[in-house]
Amino acid sequence: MSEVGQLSEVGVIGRQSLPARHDAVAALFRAHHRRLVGLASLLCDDRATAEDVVQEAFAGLFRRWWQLRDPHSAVAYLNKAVVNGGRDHLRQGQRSDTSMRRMVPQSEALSSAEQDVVANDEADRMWRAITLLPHRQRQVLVLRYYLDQSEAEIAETLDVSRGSVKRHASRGLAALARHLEVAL
Amino acid sequence: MTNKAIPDDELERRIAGVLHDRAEAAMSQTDTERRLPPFIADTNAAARRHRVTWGLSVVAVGAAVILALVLTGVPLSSDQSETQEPARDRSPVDVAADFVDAFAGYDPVRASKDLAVDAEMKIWEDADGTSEWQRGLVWAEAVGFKVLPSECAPEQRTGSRTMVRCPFALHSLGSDRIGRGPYPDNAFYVVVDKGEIVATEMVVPSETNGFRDEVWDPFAQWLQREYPADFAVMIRDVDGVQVPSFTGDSITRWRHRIVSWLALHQALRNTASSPG
Repeated sequence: MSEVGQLSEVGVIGRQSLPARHDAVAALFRAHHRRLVGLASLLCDDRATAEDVVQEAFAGLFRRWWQLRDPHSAVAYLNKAVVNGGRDHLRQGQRSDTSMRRMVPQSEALSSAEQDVVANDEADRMWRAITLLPHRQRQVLVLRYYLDQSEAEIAETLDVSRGSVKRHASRGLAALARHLEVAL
Repeated sequence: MTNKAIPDDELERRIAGVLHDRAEAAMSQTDTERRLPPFIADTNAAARRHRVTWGLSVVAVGAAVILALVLTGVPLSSDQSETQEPARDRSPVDVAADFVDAFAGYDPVRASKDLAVDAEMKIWEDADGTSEWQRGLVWAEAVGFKVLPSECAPEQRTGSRTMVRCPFALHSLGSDRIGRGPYPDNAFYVVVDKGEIVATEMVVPSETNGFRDEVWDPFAQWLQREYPADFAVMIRDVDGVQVPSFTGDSITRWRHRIVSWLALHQALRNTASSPG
């Protein structure tokens, strides 16, 4: 192979100077991919989307690798990217859901939703109720009860005030309680 | 159906249970090892796509176009790929070593003298990817970012182009004054073409060489605790990543706070060594 061929295949700077970045991101991928798919699945409504969100988060980490400065920032970045990525996908999904609902007669849509709730067991009802929460309330509850984050940590992850976290958590819990009370 | 209030702790327990079960179900269906290779392939492809776009945006500059073509894997035409004699007397290793020496001396003018007009400088960049290497040098001097170079050596050659690797150890944030470091395994990669530097990248594996654990993290935590207002100016949060800010105000604060940090360590040493 000619020198040009060798250099073209390898990439002058891209790969030769960045093996450490590849190795480090690959190690993080192995360590956190599975966990993050779990997290993303709570913020998206299907697993394929959750996988995409996680992949995008790692791609973002790879692009921003040079900016990392402290030991925990890579994991914090991934958590935040997954939470925000999940929100973006959820918004897109909610927009298309809304469009679909407008095309279905109201009574039929309600009837179908009610039938779903009645048909599923308690855990499914709870999950269904969580998916119906506004996305910010859902994010706060997932961070609180799945990641066990404190109010301060949630505020940092979502870039909102602690007061806002409290408000969303309280409203989310109240909505879930109402939903379960009605269902009991 | 009757309305029945659920105690808060019971509700929270149920929510946590459902979330963990749902997440576990998703985790059990994913295959990390199968997804890793395509991810790595995607990142390589994305890096190439990024460089194509960058290269095309400066299409008027011949050297940059050639660089973009080489970086993105498009073969050069035969007349371009022939080995050409450097236009200047110095070898690529000398050019790269001079750059590193100037960088280590915080001398942006001397470091710039061999740079091509559109050299790609991946040393310090802002959140948009704009090169901030010259302002970064001012910050580097303020915080005692010391480059301790070893000998440069050519890594790869093609045509008139040579990539030179210049390894270095580093001190920063006063690590040399508090008995830590130097931190090894860092390097400049300098691509020299006909005596001109067309691309440079600085690689600092701070996660693995001990710098983050021993220096950055303790400093940033202390700063945030003791001087939160300064912290807010000196360190930006870019999507959860801590990045030093290179504004004039920030650099002034960096200079002062490094002095405070070193004074704190000196006081701790004095306390530890004082009798009784």
